Amino acid sequence: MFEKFSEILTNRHEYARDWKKRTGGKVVGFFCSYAPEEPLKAAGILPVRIIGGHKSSDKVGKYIAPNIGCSFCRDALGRGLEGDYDYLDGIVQGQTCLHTGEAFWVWQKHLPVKFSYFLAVPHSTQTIGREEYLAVEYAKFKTALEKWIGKEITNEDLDRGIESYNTNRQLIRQIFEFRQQDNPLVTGSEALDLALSGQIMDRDEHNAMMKEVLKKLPDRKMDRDPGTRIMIIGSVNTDREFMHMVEHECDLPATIVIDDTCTGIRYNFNDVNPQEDRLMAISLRYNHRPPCPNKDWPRRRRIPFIKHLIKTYKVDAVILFNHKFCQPHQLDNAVIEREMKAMGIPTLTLEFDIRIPIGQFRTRVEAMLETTMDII
Amino acid sequence: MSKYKTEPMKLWKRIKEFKQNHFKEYHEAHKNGRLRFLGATALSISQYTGFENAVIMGSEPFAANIAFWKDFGLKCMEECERRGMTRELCGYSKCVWGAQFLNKNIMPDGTMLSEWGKPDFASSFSLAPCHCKWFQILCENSDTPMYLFDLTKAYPYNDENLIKYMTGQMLDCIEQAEKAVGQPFIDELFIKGVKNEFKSYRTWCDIMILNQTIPAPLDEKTIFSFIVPNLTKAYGDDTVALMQELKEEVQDRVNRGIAAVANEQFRIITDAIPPWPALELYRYLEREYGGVVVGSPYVICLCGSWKFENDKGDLIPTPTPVELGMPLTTREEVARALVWYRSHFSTETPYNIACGEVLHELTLKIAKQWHADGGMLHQNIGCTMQALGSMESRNAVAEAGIPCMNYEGNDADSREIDLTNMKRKFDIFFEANNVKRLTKKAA
Amino acid sequence: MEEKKEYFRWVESTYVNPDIDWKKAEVVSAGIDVGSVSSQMVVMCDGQIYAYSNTRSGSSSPNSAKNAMELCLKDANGLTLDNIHYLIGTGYGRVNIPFAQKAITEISCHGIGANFMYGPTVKTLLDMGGQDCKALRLNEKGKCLNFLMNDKCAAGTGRGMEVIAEILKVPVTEIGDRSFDIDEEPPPVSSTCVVFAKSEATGLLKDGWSKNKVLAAYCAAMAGRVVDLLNRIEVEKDFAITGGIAKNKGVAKRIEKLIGVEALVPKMDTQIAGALGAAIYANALYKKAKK
Ligand code: SF4
Ligand code: SF4
Repeated sequence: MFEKFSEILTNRHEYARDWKKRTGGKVVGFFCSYAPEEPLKAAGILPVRIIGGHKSSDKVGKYIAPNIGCSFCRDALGRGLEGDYDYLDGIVQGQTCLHTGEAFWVWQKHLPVKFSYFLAVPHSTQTIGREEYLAVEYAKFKTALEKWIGKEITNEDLDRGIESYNTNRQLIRQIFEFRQQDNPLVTGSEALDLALSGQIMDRDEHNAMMKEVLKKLPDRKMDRDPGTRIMIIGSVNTDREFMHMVEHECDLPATIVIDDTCTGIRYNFNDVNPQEDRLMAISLRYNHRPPCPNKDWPRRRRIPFIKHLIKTYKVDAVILFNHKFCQPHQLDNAVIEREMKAMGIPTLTLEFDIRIPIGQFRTRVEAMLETTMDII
Repeated sequence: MSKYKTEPMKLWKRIKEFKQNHFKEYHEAHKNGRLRFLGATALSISQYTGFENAVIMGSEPFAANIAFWKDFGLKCMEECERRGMTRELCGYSKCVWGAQFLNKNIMPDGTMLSEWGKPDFASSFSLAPCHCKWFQILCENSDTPMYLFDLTKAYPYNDENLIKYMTGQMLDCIEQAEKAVGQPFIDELFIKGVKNEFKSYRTWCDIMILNQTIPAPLDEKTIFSFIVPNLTKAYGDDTVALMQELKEEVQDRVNRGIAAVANEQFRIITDAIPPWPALELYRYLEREYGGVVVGSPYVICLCGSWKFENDKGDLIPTPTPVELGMPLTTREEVARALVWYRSHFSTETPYNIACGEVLHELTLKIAKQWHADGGMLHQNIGCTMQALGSMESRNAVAEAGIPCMNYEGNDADSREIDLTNMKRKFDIFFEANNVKRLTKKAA
Repeated sequence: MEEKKEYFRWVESTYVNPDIDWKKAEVVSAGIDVGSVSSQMVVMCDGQIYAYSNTRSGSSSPNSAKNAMELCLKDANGLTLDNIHYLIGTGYGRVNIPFAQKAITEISCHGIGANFMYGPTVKTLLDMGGQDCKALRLNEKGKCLNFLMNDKCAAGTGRGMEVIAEILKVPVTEIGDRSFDIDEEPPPVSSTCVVFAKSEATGLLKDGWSKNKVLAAYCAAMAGRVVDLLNRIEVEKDFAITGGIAKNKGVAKRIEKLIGVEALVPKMDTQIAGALGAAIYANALYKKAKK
């Protein structure tokens, strides 16, 4: 049912190249899910998330040391340096963590792009004045875009962008809801491919595909034991091999029912509420969305969000998914672990590198599954 | 015969005492009926000068002092790791969290304290997001009221949106702090403090410029001893005077050709916070190779404010708001001027990742203007923010024809410092650049 | 010509309990633990240990399992695979044991095995295996409630020890004792990484350190890494150690000193804990299925 999403995700570079050919439009890469996608869409541009290929590249070491840079960013940058992303016309960073920031600058300096923009998204999404601040930054961004594409971005354009993304998020949430069932009608692997393919596809095309799925989904028969219901919390997850291992290769049954990552529900949780000042409307969405740890201060909004998901999706166990050298998530993990312990939820922390030792991970996941049940 | 005359800095002892006294003032504040403020230096401490009884401590020197006393520093880190904070997390943060967990601290002279020094109000700013997470965790655990500033992007400076945003936060912070500590904020004090700070900072820039002289009147290890007054008490009359005296002494050294290192033969720039637990490596460079570290983006910007002359020209001191005749009579005006001045290359703002487009240029400018023969950039694994930019800085300096290397270290975690390896790397670097070794190599 | 000596070698062993007649047993269960460095098999008769073997792992998991099995059954009075009612595989090669009915992770198995070995008071268990090291919290039944694992580097693992043994040319079984034969405890070496071990060890020897002193510094460093794990999981008494390194006093004693808790004294070969746990599970699962 979700094969087409998986296929496009696998062949994402072909998809983008083909999209360019079909539409004659420009493609812009972005590193982090705080990138201003609605304005890009409004400008007729295809924003695609730059992700790694789970392949190492010896070209990265000159710019980012292996013992400090987050493995996700090093992988993504490596793909750029290896030429996988040579179709990009531009790159945009919506500021979050240090690592995506540095990857952006290295890319901008050493790879040929016609347009690059570092958008200063507030670090805290709770500070006084951050909504107005971001709206102004969007206005500057819009001006820069207009200059580049040589035409004005009108309110109608912005409305189209907003509409397309709102619909996209709503549809994703609708599909995700089927994971709340006792026997979830969508596996975690499928959900990841669904959400991630959205981040690299034209949202209108993605929407059309999801609408098809939704017609059939309620009648889907699942031929598997859902087993332990797992939630994934942490760094950006693009690790399809790992998802598959947890759900299909372990000795004990398990299903990943939800996540708090920027390639899942965190990114798709809230919409842009239309208002006259479009850029302010978009600013509100990005400021109010469930935060990534970088942006979760002074108060902690992530913990209540995670607890809400645990309840709604009936989570039995948690995997803290941490990219190697992702300090932002490490900083939150100690607190999350404590909270999970208090709730009696088994928690397993795994550290992901560009390539992961799938066998060792399997042992740990199985061991955690064993702690959730009585073997004898 | 040595190449240059050298003599010790006369002010050295007084500045050491200044630091000791300031720490003492902070730790004894409550005993003396005063308030303790702990804040990240740069953008989030000067506002507290508006409180009459304030003793303000900069959290970075606070942390660096713990790191410097490596046995205590190590205990702090281990205590954090026991609580699930990983080995890879920020060294400074773990020093201060650890002190708080252990409820102990240490004075600059090594005296142990039986209390960590909980502030009455704390603040930080997002030089990097972790710089705020540092305080989030600290304040949650110690139940301290806090204000965390959002600094989004420090370059290009002079950005009206940023200045407005941060000024709004500054004013908000003042109100919150007033409520939290239950004391009135006095605008006159604030205005006076900030004006003083402009002076102290401006003087620092002059001192750093004097170090462009050959031979260098100061070496970086000595400069480290001089940073504390400005970092943590730039608003004080005593600091203004002290910086002036320091400038005069350095000027005098320049006039008389007094060198920091008698055998100066290779001028070096570094990067980032040094490995505090292993400062002896500076002596190694001097002794073995006549290598003198003349500066770094860290130490040059740390206690001053800088900008590029006409866009991408040379690095020059930012004219102060007083020099520019900005209005400085109301709280708003002063807050705004302070934000404006400090959101140039000031303290560690160049390392703000949003400055990634210029950090390497800044480093290169420093290498050139300070007449460096080479760069030995500390890739400070203890601070992700600094470590990330360091390779591009190296690339830029090296590509400009100035030999440059990275050496890996840690500002706080002595376990991650491999002095033997560092020295070996230095030896290779010097050898490759035909720098004569001054001592006979140990057999 | 100098004879090529393999310093990492330790002696393979077997055991058969002379007081038990397997033919009289109602349930014969077994566990096989295929680890990266060593493999074990344990056979139980009605929940009592009847026989075991402890061998070096071979080139492949099925082969290692087969070796352990053959060695274990060699002197077991005619016991064959066919007589075993239920066999569970564990360890990293657990899924590749052709004659196992089921696989359970070594984490759960070590918990149950330690519970059998040391009794129900064990709350914290440290298992130092061939290529990883894990800290477990157990309940009174030996069920694992929580665990942490270090497999990032060979520090504190059997493999790490073997590398050191080869570098210093000291038989691996002697490392523990020799590491205490020193005048004064040296500081731990800065890097426990086996990749750097060689150059560092050579450097220390050149600086005039005795081999024993270098060993002491290594054991201390390894203990230090392992203690990080224990601190994170929070040690609650009683505390016990399983796995090959439990036999290396040089590391074990230093761990005890660092955490300020003494480990229970093992009553049997600590390397069989995983296979033992698997055999216990096998016994229970067989009885459960029969009911
Ligand atoms: S995984 Fe962590 S460090 Fe890497 S990009 Fe995401 S938040 Fe940043
Ligand atoms: S890593 Fe650097 S920027 Fe982050 S909190 Fe530590 S000192 Fe600050």
